[in-house]
Amino acid sequence: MEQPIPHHKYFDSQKEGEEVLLILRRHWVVYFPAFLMALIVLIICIVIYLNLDTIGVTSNSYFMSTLTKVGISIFFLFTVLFVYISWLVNYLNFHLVTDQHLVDIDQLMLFSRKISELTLEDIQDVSATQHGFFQSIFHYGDVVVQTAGEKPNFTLEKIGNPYEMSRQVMEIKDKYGEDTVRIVGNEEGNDKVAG
Amino acid sequence: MKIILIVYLALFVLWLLISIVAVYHNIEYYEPNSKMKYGLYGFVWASVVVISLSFLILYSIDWPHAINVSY
Repeated sequence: MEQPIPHHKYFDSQKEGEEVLLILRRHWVVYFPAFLMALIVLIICIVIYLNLDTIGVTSNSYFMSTLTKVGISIFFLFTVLFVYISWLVNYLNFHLVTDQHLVDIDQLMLFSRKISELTLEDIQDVSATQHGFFQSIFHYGDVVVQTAGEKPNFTLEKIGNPYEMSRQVMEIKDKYGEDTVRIVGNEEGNDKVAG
Repeated sequence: MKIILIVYLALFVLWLLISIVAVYHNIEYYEPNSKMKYGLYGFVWASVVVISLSFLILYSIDWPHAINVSY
């Protein structure tokens, strides 16, 4: 059962009372390459450490043996840190749909963050795509939000269950995006009410 | 040989500083009911294990011999 999204300020320009209705995160597959790479590195380090005699490092010089051991222990530390930062950066890279906006939060690096917003009224269409073997097997893909006018389209990359998510975004847009009654000018210069 | 120990300590301090910054970042953007706490716990426990392993490896080195040895 899905947990309700708690009240929390997710981005700086979030207005008072602006309710977050949907959070779109990247599929867990995106974490896999970093974990796999770290696992391989750790296994290689352990194998080297356990076979220092066989490789001939210990017998050649004590300096080389000490250097290898110290190097391996440092490598362990930085590998774990690399995995953690990689996970954190991917996890903080997400998208929100509130009752007023669609927000794209891009965590590019540990200290580099970009937040783009789009009002629900600016959403024209939402589509989902899955390309390739892995995306089809693991059910993830891109959700493309087409916008009105010259505003750039939003591409939400590697989202789990993209077809369902695009449907939900469209539902929210239909429910909340048309609620506001806009006053627009007609050709004669008079105001008219548009739904 | 002492240089290896100094380089190790310098790199360990660097690792510690980057770790503190990353954890601070995690706490700064912490979201309730999210998986962020699991990531944080995972990192802390993995760090404890890896630091223990690292110290075990260092402990296995015969430092008095290593420092006096000519290479």
